[in-house]
Amino acid sequence: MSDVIAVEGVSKRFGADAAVEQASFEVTQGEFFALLGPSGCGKTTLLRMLAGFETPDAGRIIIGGKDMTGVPPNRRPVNMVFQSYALFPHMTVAENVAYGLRAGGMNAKDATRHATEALALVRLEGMEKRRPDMLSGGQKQRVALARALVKRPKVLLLDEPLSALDAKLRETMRLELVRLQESVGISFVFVTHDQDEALSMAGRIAVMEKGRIRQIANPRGLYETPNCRFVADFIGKANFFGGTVTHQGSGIAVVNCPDLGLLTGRMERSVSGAVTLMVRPERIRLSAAPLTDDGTNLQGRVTHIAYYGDESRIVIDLGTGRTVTASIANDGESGARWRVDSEVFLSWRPDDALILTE
Amino acid sequence: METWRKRRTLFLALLAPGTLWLVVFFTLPLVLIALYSVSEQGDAGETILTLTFENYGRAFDWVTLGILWKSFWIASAVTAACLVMGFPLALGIAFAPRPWKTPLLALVALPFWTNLLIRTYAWIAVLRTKGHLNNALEWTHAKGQAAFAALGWPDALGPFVPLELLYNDWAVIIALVHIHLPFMVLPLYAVLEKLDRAHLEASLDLGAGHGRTFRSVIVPLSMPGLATGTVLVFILALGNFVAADLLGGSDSMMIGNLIAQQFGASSDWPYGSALSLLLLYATFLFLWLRALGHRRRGEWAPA
Ligand SMILES: Nc1ncnc2c1ncn2[C@@H]1O[C@H](COP(=O)(O)OP(=O)(O)OP(=O)(O)O)[C@@H](O)[C@H]1O
Ligand SMILES: [Mg+2]
Repeated sequence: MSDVIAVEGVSKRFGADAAVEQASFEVTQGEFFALLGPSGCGKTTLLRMLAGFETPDAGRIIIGGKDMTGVPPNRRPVNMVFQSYALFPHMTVAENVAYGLRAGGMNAKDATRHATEALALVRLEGMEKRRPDMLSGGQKQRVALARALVKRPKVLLLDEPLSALDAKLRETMRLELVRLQESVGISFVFVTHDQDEALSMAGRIAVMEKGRIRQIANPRGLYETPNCRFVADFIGKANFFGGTVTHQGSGIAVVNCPDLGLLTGRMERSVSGAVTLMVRPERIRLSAAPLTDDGTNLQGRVTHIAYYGDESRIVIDLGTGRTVTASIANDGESGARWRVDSEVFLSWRPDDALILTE
Repeated sequence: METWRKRRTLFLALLAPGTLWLVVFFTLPLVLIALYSVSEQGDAGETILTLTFENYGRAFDWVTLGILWKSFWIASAVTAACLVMGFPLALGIAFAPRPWKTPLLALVALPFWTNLLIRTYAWIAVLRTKGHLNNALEWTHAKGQAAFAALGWPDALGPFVPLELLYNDWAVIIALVHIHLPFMVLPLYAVLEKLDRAHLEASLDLGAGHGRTFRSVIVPLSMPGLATGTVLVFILALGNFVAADLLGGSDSMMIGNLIAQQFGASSDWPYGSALSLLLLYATFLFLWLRALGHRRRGEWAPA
């Protein structure tokens, strides 16, 4: 089996509140796995259960084929990069990195050699003698990485490791982390509440809501085929239309939306009854005259235009008190076509909308 | 600070009471003591300022040096005992569940509500020949005796001989530890409470057991509190004379007693003043050594 981590129905409550409920997932050897969700959804709690700092109330955690129930943190083949880095302030950078090796019984000479190598891996050569308080945020982050990686864990756990860095550095570190992960081949479990971070770095992402894992998929799968309204809303932007299914066939369903009439969208599996139709803003086509094809056609008036540089988001009032957001690329042609108060026709092909049942 | 500079008058006005207090009740007496220490006593017992260093010279005789040495070792033993008992106590309180912390801290500080003299006297009741401790021992002895007798072995333990616990150095040390323990626990608690739990978790996560985590992470990170507690207890124990007076044997005189004697029974104020200043210098030396040690430990300055 190539799963390095198997989480089986793990739950944890604090007092009356469930922090994690019935979480199950696997992480395979060498995978970059992200736990993504809004603040307070239980990501840290789940990660801390993997590290052994919290005990699950129910379920099992299996790491490297061994049941971790009752195994203390210092005996688990995982290491953690803390959000605050938690570097030991009274030790030099080299001592920090060598600490875990010394604790594991390695002699001082070998530990120092390995620490130096690990620091080279995160490109911190020559910083060995410094103390943590003489390092920048990005450098501390690398020391924390080196300190955990030098232990050669089966899995590296990272709790929002980039959140303390400024925006520019965060972008650079994303690429660097991915490169590092590929070069060492250790599985990463990466906690973040930043969807861009998860989408751009992870191979697979588990999206959490209120302690539950809602969906596990790769970035494209999450964005294009979310399995519920929460995931569709959390990952990227989306327009939602509630209605009931009237027809379906060959992967397409027709939904009757009370105020807008019939809308079409693609379905992942056979659906019926009350559903939600989801359209991403960039999948909505805007035109001055109605388009005649088999898709959905609606009409409205532009109420607001937000300029984002690479794209503009256009808010359109459909006349029924409902607004829809469409985004258009600012490629020099379409960008300047619309003004506030212009009448506009909008449409989408059946494949560009998705029917959600939850 | 900027605004303080602009409002000079207000700043000075606020500074005045404290400054005045220190000058009148601290600086002036210290100057007086310094003057006394270089004075001589006339035949009628009057003090004559002669700028002599003889008083200091007198301190360097064997008896005084012996007392000084004994004071240092008793203060050291008290400090060590406070450290050994205070660290686990502070650790326990700092890591106790939140609602427990305040009551536990209050318990540590509780002895402060009793007069120092009474706390010291209480030890007489505990330690004397017919004190509580010996009574408890006698009771246990009687029970043991009865148990052996029941097994057909009368008088197996022999007659009860009470322990002579009072009027020796140990009684002094016990009382001093009792009096000064809070001064060790409170500063230690203050740093342990603020200790970032993530550091402990990081240590465990990296494979260190609890022992190594304690040695390599908790102790170094609580150095500021450790140093403060050690210095406080050592200096306070060194200057204490009540415990030695009430609980010590005839040879249990500490430097504090010697000084008190000069200002009391012997009424040799010049000598007493010289001894006081010597003790002050010794304390400064101790603090200076501590600061040196601190600087050597590295650039990491505990906040
Ligand atoms: N030690 C604790 N005691 C009580 N409640 C806790 C404890 N730790 C976490 N919780 C609660 O459990 C829930 C999940 O917390 P957790 O820290 O796992 O969230 P998170 O997803 O990491 O959030 P964030 O993105 O803000 O870090 C929260 O409601 C939190 O208040
Ligand atoms: Mg968190």
